[in-house]
Amino acid sequence: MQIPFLSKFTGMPFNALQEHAEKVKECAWAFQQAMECYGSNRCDRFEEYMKEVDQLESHADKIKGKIRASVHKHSKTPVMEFQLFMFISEQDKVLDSVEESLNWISYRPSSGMPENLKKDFFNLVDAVITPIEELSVMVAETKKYYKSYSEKQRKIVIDIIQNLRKSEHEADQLEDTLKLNIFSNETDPAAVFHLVKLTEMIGSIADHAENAGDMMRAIIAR
Amino acid sequence: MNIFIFAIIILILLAISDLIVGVSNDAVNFLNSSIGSRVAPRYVIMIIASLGMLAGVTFSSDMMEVARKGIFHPQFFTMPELITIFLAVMLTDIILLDLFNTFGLPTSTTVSIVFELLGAAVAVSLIKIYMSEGNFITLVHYINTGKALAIITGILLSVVIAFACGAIAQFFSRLVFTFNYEPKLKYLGGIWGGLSLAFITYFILIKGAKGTSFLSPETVSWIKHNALIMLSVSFVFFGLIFQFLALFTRINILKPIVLVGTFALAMAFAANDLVNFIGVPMAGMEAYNVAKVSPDPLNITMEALQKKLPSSTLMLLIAGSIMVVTLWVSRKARTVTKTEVSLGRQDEGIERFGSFGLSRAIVGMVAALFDLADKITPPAVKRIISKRLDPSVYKPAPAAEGKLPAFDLLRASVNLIVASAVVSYATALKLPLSTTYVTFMVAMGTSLSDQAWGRESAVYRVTGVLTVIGGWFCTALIAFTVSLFFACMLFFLKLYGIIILLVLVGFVIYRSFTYHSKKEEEEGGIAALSLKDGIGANFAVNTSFEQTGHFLNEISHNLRTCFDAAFAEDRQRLRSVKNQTKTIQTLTNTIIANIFKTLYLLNNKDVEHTRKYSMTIGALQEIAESHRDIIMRSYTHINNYHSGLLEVQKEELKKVRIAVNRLLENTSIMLLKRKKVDYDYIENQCTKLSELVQEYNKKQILRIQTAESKTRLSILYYGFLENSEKIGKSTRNLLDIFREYFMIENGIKPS
Repeated sequence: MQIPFLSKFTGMPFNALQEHAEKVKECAWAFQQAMECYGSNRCDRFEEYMKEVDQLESHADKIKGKIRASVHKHSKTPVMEFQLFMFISEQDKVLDSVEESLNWISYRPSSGMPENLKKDFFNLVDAVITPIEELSVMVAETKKYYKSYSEKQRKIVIDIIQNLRKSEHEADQLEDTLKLNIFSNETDPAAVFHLVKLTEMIGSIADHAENAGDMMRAIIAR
Repeated sequence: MNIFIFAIIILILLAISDLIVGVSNDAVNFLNSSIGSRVAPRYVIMIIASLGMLAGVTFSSDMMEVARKGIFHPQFFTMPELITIFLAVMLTDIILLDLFNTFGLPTSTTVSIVFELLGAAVAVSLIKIYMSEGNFITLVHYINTGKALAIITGILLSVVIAFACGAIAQFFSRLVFTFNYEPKLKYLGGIWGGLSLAFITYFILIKGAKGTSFLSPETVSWIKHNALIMLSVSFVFFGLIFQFLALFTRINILKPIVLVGTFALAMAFAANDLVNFIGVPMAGMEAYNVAKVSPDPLNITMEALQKKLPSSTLMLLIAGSIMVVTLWVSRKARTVTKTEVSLGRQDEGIERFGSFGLSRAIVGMVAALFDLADKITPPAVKRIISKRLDPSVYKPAPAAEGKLPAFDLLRASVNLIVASAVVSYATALKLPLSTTYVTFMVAMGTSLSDQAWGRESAVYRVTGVLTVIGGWFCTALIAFTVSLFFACMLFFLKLYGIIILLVLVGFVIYRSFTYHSKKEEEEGGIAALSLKDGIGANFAVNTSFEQTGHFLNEISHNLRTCFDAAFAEDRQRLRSVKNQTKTIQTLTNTIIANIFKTLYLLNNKDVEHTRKYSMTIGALQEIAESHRDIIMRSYTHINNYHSGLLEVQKEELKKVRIAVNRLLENTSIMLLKRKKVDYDYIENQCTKLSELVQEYNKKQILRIQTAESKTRLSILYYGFLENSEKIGKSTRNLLDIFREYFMIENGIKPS
């Protein structure tokens, strides 16, 4: 049970949350660019993208610290505080998964992406980026909700969370298809292991985005 | 009697609020010339205006009679009836003036108070006549109809006389001094200074100080009847001083003239207009005090208010202090001043007002008149006039705060001299002119003569002037009707009426405050985007890139909201995003104006270098136009309650929206952060978007053939698809242009 009037004074650190979500989104785009670069034969900027992701991750970490300090300063109910930390933590895991995926690729840099799997990989990346993009919009709309407390605005946030789940589900389906294709097209065990693990890592990016959405759903629950 | 004590307390609180809203609106009268010409740093201008106001309030003691007996005859009313009238007047006044302040429109506080008194008095009189079963013709006994007619005449007179005087005076002054006036001041400074200060001093004496105890009624009468002597003596006295200053010092004599004029107008405002804000509550208190000591307080009629009653100096000084504080802190006062200054500014730029039929017709007519005058004027005369009135010579130096003035000091001094002269002359002849109307119209007349309203801005400026004048007539109409309605409510609902109306006033003020803050923020954002003078080419290019990045971000945000609102058939969100299109249009125009400015700064670079850059204009316009088209189509469709998009269409458009947003936001980041452009990535995203559009295009054809999607729905769907594709292509082109520009800049030949 939330008390709208009091919440105005105990305000959530939405600007910092938004900033964090934007960094996550930027990181996701850098990841997509890195994947396209990895799939392309003429791209030599993969290292640059890795560095970019690394920088964005460290920026996001600083923002996360800022949020934690700010939440401690403004007295909130323990439940809200817990949910908020869980939300940031899930949003942060998106970044970790992106970083891990790129690191994993870098372990077999010379192998490249098999030609017949490229499209599937790009589609999967495309699908996991979508829920991340939704995250920043979700935070912006939640901020509006905490200003107006209108049911209509709450519904907008819930719709975004539903979209997020739907996108994650689509990503899951693409992940399954890709795994199937890897097993049916690849014969080299090392390549199969590398590609399957990569697929799972990419898939987990969308899972964390979905989890962050669920946390937000709990925060705005009445 | 308790309810009346409560009503008096409310009246006092309303007086404070009215002082705040009133000063916010009237400040423009005395600040326009000094702020527009940036005669001194802002704080100096404010100090001088504050001193003028404080001097003025002490002179306003016998001005309070308008509220007591100026509009109605108090002997026909009892104390409760008068309190009803006064409450209705104050509540209406606050709402009315606050609305005008919010929209930045100057209006006359005198006209508003007079018509509010009229409206409320008519309401109470009619109710009284109806209850006593009397004849409605007897209403004329209750109301001072002559005063109301005089004020309406005043509006018309102010508009015509002040505008004509301003225009003529500025024309001849400019003819004498030209736009390069400073060298001429050496020889003509004495005459100009003498003339200016003579009029301003006369104005101070006749308008500002007429109620003071320093001047006896005989002295005031002597001044009125010996105007010529007064003016001649002042002219010679000040003329000598200014000629000395012009010849032997480096003081720009126009500066003291403008500052003294500001002081004089501020003083006259405080002396004359204080009554508009506290006169009514003071009259209410007097009515209560008279009733309180009588044996039948609720039924005694208020003949006592006919007598002259002294005002408390302490109360006047408190009122003056509130006015001074408001002058310094009110943001709405700045908005009103900005409207008047921007309507008269010498240079072109982004105009606040649009255009409509009447303004176009007026400009067309005036242009035809000028053509005619051009044909019949002998060529030699034409040559002389055009040489002396050549505005291209006008090269203002930045003021102390580094900002350029809107107009020069010569125009500022003409504004003050003419306004002082017109108001003093009319007051001496007992003609009812409004200071607000006179100062505004003089300022517009002088700007017309100074050719500030060129072909590029005349229509918009005329629209602005017509809007302000229209507002003046609305002031009278709204003041009368709303006050009449409020008085009826208060008469019948008593205490409940007071509470309901107080809540209403609170709500209106809150809403107008939030609206004004939002508007100010938007305008501040746009103003911050405009490139200032005196910057380098590289800085200008970088700023343009940054602004384009912000622009793409805004477009992306609006599109997302529009798509989502259309899917949810949310009219309210669509309306809000539709309102945003105007801001986007202004943003586009600002960026384009900056690009032209940058091209001017790049004039030493090769044509190929700059040609690429100029191509951004087309891409920006295409993006803004397609964005607007999507929003307008969606709004029209949903607002007319046509059937919503099919589920399958929503799913498809969602994918299109994601692709467009991704493209726009990625490009935005590249421009904002000057990130190395990954053109392949943008190209891939754009291709993906085109493929989606083609695929969904085919699917939609099938839906049309199976009658699954009706005509209007198909039009909307295709509107989304085609405009999204256009936005995608233009964004890619934009990035391409910027990429090539950077390559040329870095000495790399683009492929």
